Amino acid sequence: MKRQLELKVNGEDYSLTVEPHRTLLEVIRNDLGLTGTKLGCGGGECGACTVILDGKAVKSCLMLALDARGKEIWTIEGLSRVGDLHPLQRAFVERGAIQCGFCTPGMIMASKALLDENPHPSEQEIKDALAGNLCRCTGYVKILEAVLSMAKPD
Amino acid sequence: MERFELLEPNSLDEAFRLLSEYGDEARVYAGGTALVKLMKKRLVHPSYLVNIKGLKGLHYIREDEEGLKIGALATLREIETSPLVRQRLKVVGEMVHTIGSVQIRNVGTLAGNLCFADPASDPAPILIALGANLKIASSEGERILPVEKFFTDFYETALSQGEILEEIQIPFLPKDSGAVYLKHTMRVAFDLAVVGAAVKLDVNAKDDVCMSSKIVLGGVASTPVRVKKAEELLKGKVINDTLITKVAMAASTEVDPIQDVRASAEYRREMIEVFVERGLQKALERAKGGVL
Amino acid sequence: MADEYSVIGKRLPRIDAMEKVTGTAKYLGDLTIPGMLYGKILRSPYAHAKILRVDTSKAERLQGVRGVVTGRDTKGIRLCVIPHLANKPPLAEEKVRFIGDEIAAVAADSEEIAEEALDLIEVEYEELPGVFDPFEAMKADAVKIHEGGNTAIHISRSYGDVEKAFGESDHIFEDRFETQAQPHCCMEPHGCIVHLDRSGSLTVWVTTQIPHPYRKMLADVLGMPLSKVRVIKVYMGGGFGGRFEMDPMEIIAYFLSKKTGRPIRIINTQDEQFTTGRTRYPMVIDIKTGVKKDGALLAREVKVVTDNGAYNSHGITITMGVGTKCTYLWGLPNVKYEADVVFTNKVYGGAFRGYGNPQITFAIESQMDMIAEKLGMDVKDLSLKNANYEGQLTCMGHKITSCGLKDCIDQAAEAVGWKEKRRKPGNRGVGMASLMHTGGGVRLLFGDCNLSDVFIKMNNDGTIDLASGMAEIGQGSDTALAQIAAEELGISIKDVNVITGDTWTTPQCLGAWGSREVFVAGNAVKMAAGEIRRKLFEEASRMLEARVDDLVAKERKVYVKGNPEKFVSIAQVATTCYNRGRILAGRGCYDDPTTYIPDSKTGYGGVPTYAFGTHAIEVEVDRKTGRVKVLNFVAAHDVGKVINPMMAEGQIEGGGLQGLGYALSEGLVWEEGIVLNPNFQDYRIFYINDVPRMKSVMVESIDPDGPYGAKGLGEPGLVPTAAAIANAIYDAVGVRIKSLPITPEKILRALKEKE
Repeated sequence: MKRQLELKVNGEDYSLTVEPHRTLLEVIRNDLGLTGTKLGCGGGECGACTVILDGKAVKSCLMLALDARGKEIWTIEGLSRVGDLHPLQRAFVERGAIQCGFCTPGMIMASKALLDENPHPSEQEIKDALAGNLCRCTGYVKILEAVLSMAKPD
Repeated sequence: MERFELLEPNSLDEAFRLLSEYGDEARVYAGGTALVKLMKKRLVHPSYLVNIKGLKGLHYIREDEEGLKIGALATLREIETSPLVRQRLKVVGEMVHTIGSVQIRNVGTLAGNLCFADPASDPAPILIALGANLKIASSEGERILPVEKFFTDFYETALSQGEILEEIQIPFLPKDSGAVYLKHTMRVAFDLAVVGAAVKLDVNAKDDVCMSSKIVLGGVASTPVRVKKAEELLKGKVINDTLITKVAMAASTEVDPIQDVRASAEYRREMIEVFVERGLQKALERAKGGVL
Repeated sequence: MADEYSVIGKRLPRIDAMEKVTGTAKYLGDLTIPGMLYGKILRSPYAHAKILRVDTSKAERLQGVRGVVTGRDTKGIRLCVIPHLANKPPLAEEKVRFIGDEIAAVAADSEEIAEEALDLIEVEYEELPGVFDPFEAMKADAVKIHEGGNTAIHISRSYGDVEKAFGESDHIFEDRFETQAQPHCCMEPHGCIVHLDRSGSLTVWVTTQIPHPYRKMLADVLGMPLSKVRVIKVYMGGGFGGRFEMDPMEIIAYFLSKKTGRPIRIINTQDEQFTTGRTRYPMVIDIKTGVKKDGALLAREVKVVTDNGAYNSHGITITMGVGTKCTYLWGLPNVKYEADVVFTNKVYGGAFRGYGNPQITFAIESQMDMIAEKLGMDVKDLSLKNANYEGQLTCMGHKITSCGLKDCIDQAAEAVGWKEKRRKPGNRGVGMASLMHTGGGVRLLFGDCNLSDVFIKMNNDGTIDLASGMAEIGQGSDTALAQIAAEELGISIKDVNVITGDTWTTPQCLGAWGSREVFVAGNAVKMAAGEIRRKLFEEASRMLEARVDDLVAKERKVYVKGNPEKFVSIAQVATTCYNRGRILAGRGCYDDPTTYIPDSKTGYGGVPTYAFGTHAIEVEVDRKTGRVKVLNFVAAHDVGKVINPMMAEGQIEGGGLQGLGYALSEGLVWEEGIVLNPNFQDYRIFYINDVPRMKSVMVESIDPDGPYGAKGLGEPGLVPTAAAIANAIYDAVGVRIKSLPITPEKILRALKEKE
């Protein structure tokens, strides 16, 4: 039986009705058309589905959509206005941290959640934040460099 | 995922009622990270999920004179970053840090981890070693059950139908006690324990004599295993390298470890010895150094 | 040399970075085609069984199901990237041969309904005994998986006189090495959308590395004219060789589309990827090498048994290629090669970065380390002594046109601290291993050519549209081609619009494999751009009243050499050309210049240029747990000329980590044909915390035929890694592990046996 789902995504309010078994990832991608967040493994192992929910990074493939009732979500699409990049995105671009790009939205959202909470993370703190995000292309080296470049010294 | 009804009780009483009514067709739903994954793999098929996230009074991390009291809805991340946990029971925070990844810990609960009863659960061994208790509630009232008695088999617990794990009670470490949780994994992080070793030592500070100990292993059997015979070897003895080696060896022969795709039984046995030894060394260091 | 080029050699961001970093790039699963249905495949639960009966009637009646297909619909079709070896039916007809073999498929209004419908398909099987080990499968009494027997092919080749050379050797080394099945683990599982429309035109959106050859394979299999077949490669979440052939799902989707008249989307789950997707072929390698006591390598005899899995794919060509690769590194004059490619009731392998070279290099370079030890030599010196060199002819008659191997060996050793760390007591050690691989494709598949056709048109504002049949799969080929075009024409990389992936709008190219993108397509780009530049210069010489030979194109201008104030902007020249009706179009069709005629015994053709490299790795081994910590990973690669250092590092770092996974951690585990670890939790792929300190060293040997001297780098990144690790572990704790992955258990067991 469908239930009411009101949530805020990338600063915009949405009102939907969804069945309980729908995951947050499915609703974001299929109902809201925000396909930047990816379905990689569906089992919480790859992190490609990472979004920020009430300020915290979560794996949306393991969350029920109804768990987002009344919550505020940010996805990769919310990070930049048309033509303009968030500094974190720019760092990924300029440091060669992107190859096939499939893991990129998840990596960026997990990194953003970290930087919002801790603007000056150490290398290990960045690795802790990205510990559950898989990348098969880059070897992670430039991803780490990109996020480190954002950890401004005091 | 298969369809289900999402039931959202407004009170614990209502939750108990729903759980009793639907019996094994219903499951408690809190963080859901483990449950949703199982449901997607079609390994469990609940027709009803009883969402307890709406219940008041279950989301806390507090202390009393005896120890920490952690409510059912406290997330792993909250426990990991809690100043209270850091100051009073650091070993619990250290252990929680090794569970999954940040995204999982932001959503998953300690209570949920225990109820899921994965044989490689990280909290299970250390909570047993610390002598933690569980407050379990139902329409009949509350009961206290030691964590040591909670796990009954692979993914099975002593919870009966209609019961909810309400609170986890972890006693503080007394003076001259040390505890550690060592997790042996094949990858550096985001990995399940091949062997998890939790050690708690109560030591006479003057002469390093062991007053009591608890050595609990995870990931080696269907439930966490407390190696009591190995513990016996420590009681009343001066803890030195030779004794530690002996105890570690005894621990490795006391268990018949499982074999799975992650590791063979033989390797687990060898790792039990290695990590009980390392655990004892570290726990002793902490007992003497006053690390909580 | 520093500022010789404006665009080549610069650390430029990739040209598709914006789309990817903002989440606007659409991958296969992000596409919605109007009317699209969702397909799901029913797969065999048995490793080997006869199919007695398939009843789809209940599934067909389920509300929301629009079409169901079985082997009856696809009857007679056989798939394989090498057509004459094709033995995989898209949907099983009489038998299933591995757990996961496709039996039937459903198209429905939603994935959910399609899944529900699968449960309603009734299949009656007669289970047959299965054989899971190639050596068991080769026995005379083994159950037959295919009519022709379990050995798909026996290969036998010989160059020089191996027996004589063994006779002249002072030492002979014989060792067996074993390697495992490694799936690609692309973050994006494989998928397709297939639409046969009412006019009979077929459009396939698919994650493919080879749009044009794929189009031909599809048209051939379906009996359609190519002009009615359109293949569109969209943004891809990884490739690594895993998308280097047709998958049964595309043919299945075709028949569902034919039945329903609708576009059909099928996407694997990761579980399906692990259990039914392609993998690197497991091999058992027996290698016998004869050496003189001064370290000269005289002869090599190699026997390989390849576990082909249940059906033919790249197994035969990879195994043939391994034979050729036995003649590569160290350029031995006498080589003998025998191999059997054997069917088993397990998932079948496919192409994977390295194409057999990681397996054989593990054997060759592990043994090299053992040889050095026996001879009392430093393996670095042994390697330098036998190193390939420019101008060398291999025993197959292949010519090496550029070679930076010695530099790679020296620089890798230097950077890792070889002298200080080698053969020291304790738990730490260093090891090295080198590689030789194609740096520009190979004449192996899709005809006796290695070509790429490129078409460029310059617009009247000086920007260009560049169309190439090459495939951008994340490796950065679009960007590299844009850089080459920009350099050649004196424009900015921002002025280049690269069009790739759609067979309607791009010219012929064999696609992204064999590390050929930069060399072959890059040369084609250079040719096409060169044609435009000639036309630009003709016009500019008139405008500037200067000789064509005195003109330079740089920074969006054409100017006179030595007199930069005398210039005209490229936009002005282009506008002038257009106004005069002189179209600025250029075409470059490049086929590599190898004159080597394909080996008549194997059909394995020549390679235009070779990539070289050396990995030097420092490890620390925990003697109690067997865990290996990689402290330092140095990868030195001869790339000819670096087109984009940032992207080149990306290839080395990414390849390196895949290599470390291959060496230490990864591998499918089977029990009676069941994959026991079909997910990222139990299949131990590395995450960010597993990454060691890595250093990339780029050696530039400036190849005479490569564009600006460039050679390929797509595959070399993981070829020698496993051997370097094995050698480092031996240096650290004195145990030699000859099977991959080198797990802590194996190390611990070996340490205990040593005591």
